[in-house]
Amino acid sequence: MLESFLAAGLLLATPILLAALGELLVERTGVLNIGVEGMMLTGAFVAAVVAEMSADATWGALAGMAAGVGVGGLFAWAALVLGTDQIIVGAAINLLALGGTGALYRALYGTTGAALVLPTLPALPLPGLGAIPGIGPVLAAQNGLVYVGLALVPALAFLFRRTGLGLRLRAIGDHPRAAASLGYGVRRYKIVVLLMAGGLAGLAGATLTLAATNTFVEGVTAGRGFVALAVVVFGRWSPAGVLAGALVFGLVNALQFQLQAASVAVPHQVALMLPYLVTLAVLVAVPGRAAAPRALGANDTDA
Amino acid sequence: MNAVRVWLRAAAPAAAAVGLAVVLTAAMSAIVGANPVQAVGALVSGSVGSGASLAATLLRTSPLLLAGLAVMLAFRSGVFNIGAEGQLLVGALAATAIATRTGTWAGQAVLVLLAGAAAGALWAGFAAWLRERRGVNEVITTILLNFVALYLVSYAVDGPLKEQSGAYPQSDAFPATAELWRLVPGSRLHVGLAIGVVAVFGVGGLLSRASVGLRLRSAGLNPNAARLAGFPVRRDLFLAFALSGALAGLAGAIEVAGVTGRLYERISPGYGYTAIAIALLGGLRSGGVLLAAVFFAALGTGASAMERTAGVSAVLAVAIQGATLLAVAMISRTSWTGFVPSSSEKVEAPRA
Amino acid sequence: MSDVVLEVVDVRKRFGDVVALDGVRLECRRGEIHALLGENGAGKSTLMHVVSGLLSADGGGMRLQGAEVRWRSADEARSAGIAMVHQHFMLVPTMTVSENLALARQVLGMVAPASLDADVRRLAAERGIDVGDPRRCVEELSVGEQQRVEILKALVDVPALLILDEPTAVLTPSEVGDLFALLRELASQGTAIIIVTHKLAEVFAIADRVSVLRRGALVASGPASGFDHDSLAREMVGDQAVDTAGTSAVPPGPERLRARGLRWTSADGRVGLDGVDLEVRGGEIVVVAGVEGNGQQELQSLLSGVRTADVGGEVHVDGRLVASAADARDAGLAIVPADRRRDGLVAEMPLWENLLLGREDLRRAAPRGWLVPSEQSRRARPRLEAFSVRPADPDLPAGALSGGNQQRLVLARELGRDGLSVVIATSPTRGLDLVATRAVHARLRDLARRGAAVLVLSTDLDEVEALAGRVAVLYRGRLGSIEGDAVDRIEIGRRMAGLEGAS
Repeated sequence: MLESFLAAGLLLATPILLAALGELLVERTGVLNIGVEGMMLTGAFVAAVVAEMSADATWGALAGMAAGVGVGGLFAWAALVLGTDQIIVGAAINLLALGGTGALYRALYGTTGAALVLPTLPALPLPGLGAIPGIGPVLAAQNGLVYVGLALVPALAFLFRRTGLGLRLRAIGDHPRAAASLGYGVRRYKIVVLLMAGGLAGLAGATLTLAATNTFVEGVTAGRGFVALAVVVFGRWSPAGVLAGALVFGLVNALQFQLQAASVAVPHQVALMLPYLVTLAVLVAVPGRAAAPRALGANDTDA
Repeated sequence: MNAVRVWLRAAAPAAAAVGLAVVLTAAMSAIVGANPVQAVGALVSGSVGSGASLAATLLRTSPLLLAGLAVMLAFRSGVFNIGAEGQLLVGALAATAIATRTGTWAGQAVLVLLAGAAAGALWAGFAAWLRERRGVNEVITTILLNFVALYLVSYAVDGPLKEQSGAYPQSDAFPATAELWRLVPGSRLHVGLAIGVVAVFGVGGLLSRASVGLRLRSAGLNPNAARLAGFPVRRDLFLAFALSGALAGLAGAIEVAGVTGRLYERISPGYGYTAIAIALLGGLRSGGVLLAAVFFAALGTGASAMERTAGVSAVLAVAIQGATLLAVAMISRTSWTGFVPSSSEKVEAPRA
Repeated sequence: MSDVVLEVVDVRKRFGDVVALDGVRLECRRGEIHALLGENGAGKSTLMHVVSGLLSADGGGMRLQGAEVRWRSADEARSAGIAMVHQHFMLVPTMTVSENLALARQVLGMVAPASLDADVRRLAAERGIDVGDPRRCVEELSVGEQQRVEILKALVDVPALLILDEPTAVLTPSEVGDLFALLRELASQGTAIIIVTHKLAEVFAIADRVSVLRRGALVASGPASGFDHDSLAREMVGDQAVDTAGTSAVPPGPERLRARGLRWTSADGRVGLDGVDLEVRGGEIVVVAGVEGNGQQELQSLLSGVRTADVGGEVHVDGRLVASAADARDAGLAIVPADRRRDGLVAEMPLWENLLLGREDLRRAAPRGWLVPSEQSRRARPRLEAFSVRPADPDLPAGALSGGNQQRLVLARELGRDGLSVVIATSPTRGLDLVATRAVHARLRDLARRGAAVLVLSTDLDEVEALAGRVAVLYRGRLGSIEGDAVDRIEIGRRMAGLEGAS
């Protein structure tokens, strides 16, 4: 009972975690991408279509990631190459993705309302994991993307704290002119990181359609991209913080399902509200100066 | 002379937007396998082609316009309010409570609208309190509050505000005394549109011609400078949040009291999010926001016609809105200077 | 002849219609410290940006150690041995000293903090530059310490030419002494050094050779010993009239500013102000000299009424208690903050709106709460022109102005209105050139003459001397006894550095 609850929480946390880690990367280099929602939705849609056509969820996930990279490239081109305002580009991408995936979905599958049934990502039993006392059973039967998300947390922490490359990325986000004065191609780094973030958001979307809901409906992301944005702030721009935020969200979400299943006398809408309320409550209870990158959102495209 | 230039500056991107939308509609409908000429024809005739379709477009304009002005006022004041959607929803909720749970009495509609505005202001005021007192960035709080508002509405129409017959998760129909007056007898056009147009001048004038507007903007953009100037910074910051929330709340109240006549879960097809695009497309100027709101509304109503006659899904309109916003921004390189990313840091007093 | 490290020949550069450099020549030799002198906008920075590859010239050429060079990027210039220390430091404030140096050394792979620290210690020892604990965050360092880190960064590979852009603008007198000693040491090891400045005194203190730029042209060049104070000033300023309005003393009037028992303890227990008493009479100029970080910011916040309730003490203007910034404004207090960009203006707003960022200004402009933008914009222009804000276009956003012009904008708002009772100005001439500095000092004296009480907080000994008012020294939150008329430069400098307990 507890194990399945925790396992469900981890699964629900994964899309948020993947998208938020990508957003963390770009924000660390000073780009504010409010288009995560759109990137995620595009990834979810392409993953669903390719998985349905190839009858293989793994191809779907890869295609979802590639689609996310593509949207990241669009963002990079508009915002970093042409110098369009980042907020506008992000807002536009959200609309484009919502309308585009919706229209294409109806063109491909009609409006009959019959739910698309998708192949699911297989559980990937990693040898030895199940044997860990306590969390072993929670981790044991998860799909590959859950492990990708979890592995990225220490990897990114290591990148930022212990590598020269990470120092460069942080310098670009905090003081782009200083980085440029040392000869670093600020824009090039930002573009590469945006492509990676797009890929992660695409994977996040794929997790949603191929592991969490197993179907695609219009606007399936339902604001999770915005939650990912919130989780980055919540996690104070650190990978561990982002993991904590994503887990809080995923677990409360799982709890909400449990409450409904157990038909506890809580209106289900109130239960659905819980993840957001808990996140708000944590923010109110644990204040602290935000550690936002200093040049976040600045339209700085020189060098 | 100057005024003409200002309007031209606002109108030029709008003209570009219309042209782009037509091209994009043709291209996108071709991509999804429909006849592009038929699709564009349906889009145009369905939005502005007849009196009825024009009325439908104008009807759709008022919530978009008010919510767009809400976002514009916030952004110009250095407040990154992403929560117009939530404020709009609680506005609709409060309006419905007054309309369906206080009996019927003359002038009820006025209180309905006031309740909507007040609820929106309170909802935004909570985010202001979090920023001012707890140092939590409003981006995150307003996003979270959107979802809370969404489920609150969903709960209310299935609980306390559910219709007496209990058949569907929706509120009772508004009594006639709580409905908005019609502008033209027999049409569905209601006084909400007039309120929107008044708000265009009100918000524009407030921001650029009132000393309060100057104070609001300085408090949001650089609280240190505003404090040194002797302005009541804390009050001004709350005011900026509250005014923005009130406009969005009013949009929600007008929608239920003027168009739908009752509250249900999907009352807003994301008006509050679209409002962000409208504010940005309008260049954060009130005239521009008016044009952008009409344009987005026309796309919305036109798309429904397009779906009926050309078989192109109406949701394509959303993609066209996004593509147009992106294209216009790329062409005009709209640099949006009202945004302060790490605004919560600036709230800090001198380093001590 | 092999001594010549850098030779600049006939370099020309224009920005649109403005000729920034008009055929400038320059020669720097091994082991020589070369001062490049000029007013704001004379072309010093442009020339140095051309030399260091940040800008490309429209014409002319450069030879580095005899070889013809033409930079395509700043990177190329750096690899060829030209290092630059910018006026605004190019350090990442959120990172440690070690991390900043790792960035400069282009470290890419894994970095272990311990080995980075060891690298920094070794480099610091080799170059003879003390940067303290390499594990400290840059933003915790004093400005002087940050500059040493910046210089160490420039010396990662020993450069043939080291350029320092206004390196003393933010330093305390004793830090300037340390810097000069360091530069002499580097020069003696063979590095050619260019120091960009507009302070005459520095030329004689440090330079072997001096070149003067005026309006993009080289007007004088030669050994520093061949010039004196007056001749250099003439070359630099040209035939422009320098306002040197004397100090026609007026008898002090009634007491206008009175502060008693000002105390400030920050949340982490640091004492910012420790019982400061102060009064300034009408017609009087009082200069509070002190190194940044000794309580100026706190004093400014308390005197301007921005902070009151949570800290101790009372401030009165003309006998009325100041309990808020609004009270202070109503009592006719003007305030020029130390950090104009952070506290003095709103970068996104046009100049005319920035001129209304004062409670009383706004009320006067909009008595019924409404104002007409075009009318306000028109009214703003003469005021901007009177304070030489360039460009004086009232509709331009303040953020588009250069640092010096932003300072002029704040001065135009604060000092350009009537009926001032008290003026509190922190480093009012920071970033301004000689002519503008003298104009501001004249304006302050004029305000005093017309009955205002003027309090200037300054870190600059030249300014302390030039204003020639009563002087007090602020050190570690305590205000040293206010001295008589005898302003002894050396004594003030010693007290600013805390060398003598104020008794």
